Amino acid sequence: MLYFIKKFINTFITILLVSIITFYIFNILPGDPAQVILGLDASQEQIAQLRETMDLDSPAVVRYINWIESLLKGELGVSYKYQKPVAPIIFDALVVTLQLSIYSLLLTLIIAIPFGLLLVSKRNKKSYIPLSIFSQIGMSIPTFCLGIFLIAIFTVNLGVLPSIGYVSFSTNPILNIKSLLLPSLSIAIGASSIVVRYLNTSVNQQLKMDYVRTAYSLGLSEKTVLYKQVLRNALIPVITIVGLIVTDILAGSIIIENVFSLPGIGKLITSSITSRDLPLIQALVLYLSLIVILVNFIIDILYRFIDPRIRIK
Amino acid sequence: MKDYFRNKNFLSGFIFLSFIIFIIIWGIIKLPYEINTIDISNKLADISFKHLLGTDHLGRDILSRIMVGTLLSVEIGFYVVLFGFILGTPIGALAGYYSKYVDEIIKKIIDTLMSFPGVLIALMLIAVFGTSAKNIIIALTIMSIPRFARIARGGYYSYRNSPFVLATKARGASNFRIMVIHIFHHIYGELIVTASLTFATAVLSEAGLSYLGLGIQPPNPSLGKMVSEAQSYILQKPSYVIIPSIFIIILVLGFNLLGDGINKV
Repeated sequence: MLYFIKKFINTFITILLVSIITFYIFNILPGDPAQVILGLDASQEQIAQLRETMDLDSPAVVRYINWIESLLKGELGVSYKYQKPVAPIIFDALVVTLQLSIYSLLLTLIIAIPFGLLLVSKRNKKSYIPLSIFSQIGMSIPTFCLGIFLIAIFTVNLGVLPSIGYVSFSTNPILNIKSLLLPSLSIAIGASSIVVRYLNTSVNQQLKMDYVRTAYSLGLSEKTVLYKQVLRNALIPVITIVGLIVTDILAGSIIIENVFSLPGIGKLITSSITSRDLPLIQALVLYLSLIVILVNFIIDILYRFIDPRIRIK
Repeated sequence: MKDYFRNKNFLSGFIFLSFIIFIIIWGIIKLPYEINTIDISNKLADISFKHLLGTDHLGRDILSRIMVGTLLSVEIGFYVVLFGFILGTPIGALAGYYSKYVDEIIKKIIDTLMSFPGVLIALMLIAVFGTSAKNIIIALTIMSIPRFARIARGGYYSYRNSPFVLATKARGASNFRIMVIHIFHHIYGELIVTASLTFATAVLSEAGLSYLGLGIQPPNPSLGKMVSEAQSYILQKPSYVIIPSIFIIILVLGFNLLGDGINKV
């Protein structure tokens, strides 16, 4: 129980730190923030008015507390560009990005686990090298290049999958999966290469352990040792990198949504940077950070349940 | 050194990067064409002796633009690794060597920064400070500092009470000397591996940002930007998209393999 309380306090401190950083970064704009936001040809009255609404004349600490207070009430400010409250805009985009992330994570596991097992079982054979090169290349291709190549193959040449546009799950589940398949595949190829690599290192570490030698000397077959004993232990550290993968998937979706014109967080963040819509960017960064922190928190807890050794420590 | 070249990963990484260096040096000595000369009548030309890699949608020579763009990617990667190393290593070293409360705090900050998507930090900084090569370097450096700090912390932590450190201390060496000379000697290998892998990540992130139009600004050529410009011509001229992509892949793969190879040896 003490562990959970400690973990919880830790997570809380992280969230606090992140919120302070996100707040102050947008307040150290060179020059007058109001001037920067409105551009050079803004009139004096417009600037004064914006300073008033942004509450720029009160001290930064007061503004931070006000900001947090309104955040807790669910008010994230008003977008300059859309002239609408930020919260619903983000919510709509978040739905798209979450779906993309879930599909990507599923695809990552679907690709990585069989491929990783294949690599492990071929570790002393000639076919190991081409397989490992394959995973190296998967890690080195930028997601956007993969996206473009996949569009070229599946949309342009084969004409089986759409390259742009998003259909919501409630309108048509099949079209929804179809519209998100290529983008999630582009993310999953890179992410699964990382999982495969990690699984490979983890298995190789386990193979050096004493229990493996004992198992072999007891006359157990290679297959039994590998799949019944080694893999079980090797999979534990792999679970931790699922947290890392989620971060990767989120980063990948920021880029890939722009390749496939999906109306998600990534598309929103890039378009709001171009239009200098600061309240929207600030809220988006905070939201994405919160997601990352929460995922890591959940994985830490899960990890404890899976591996009893950590509980004893 | 022989051991390194016997390692397949190191060798292939070395070959890839040699090719990149060859292209960059060729570009520095003599660019085949001026990179921004527009020649619409000659747009999307095929690969030929006149234009070794063809021309883009404005009739600019692709090879020349690749040469300059690759150099730019390597420069950005170099600065990111350099500053990440200079700033990250001492932070990690102090935390690992002196431990206690400082270590707890630094470890927390490193973990937090490591769990963030680097692109997100970069986007936030670019949103505030605008797009320029300098800002990209700053943003990506912030992402690379915790990587170096983490490796340095681990190394200094495990060596700080080892016999050779205690012996040196008994001989009267200062903490500073032990940290800079004695322990560093044992962990620089790991730091080189980190540098190589960070280089690869920096190149990938820069390409991603430039692809989004938030990195290097046109008309300066950047590999990521070239891919995004070429995207709409994929039907007419697939090689226009494929060529800059291949250069990004070779560059990233080269550094990944090199890092792996050093790690294994």
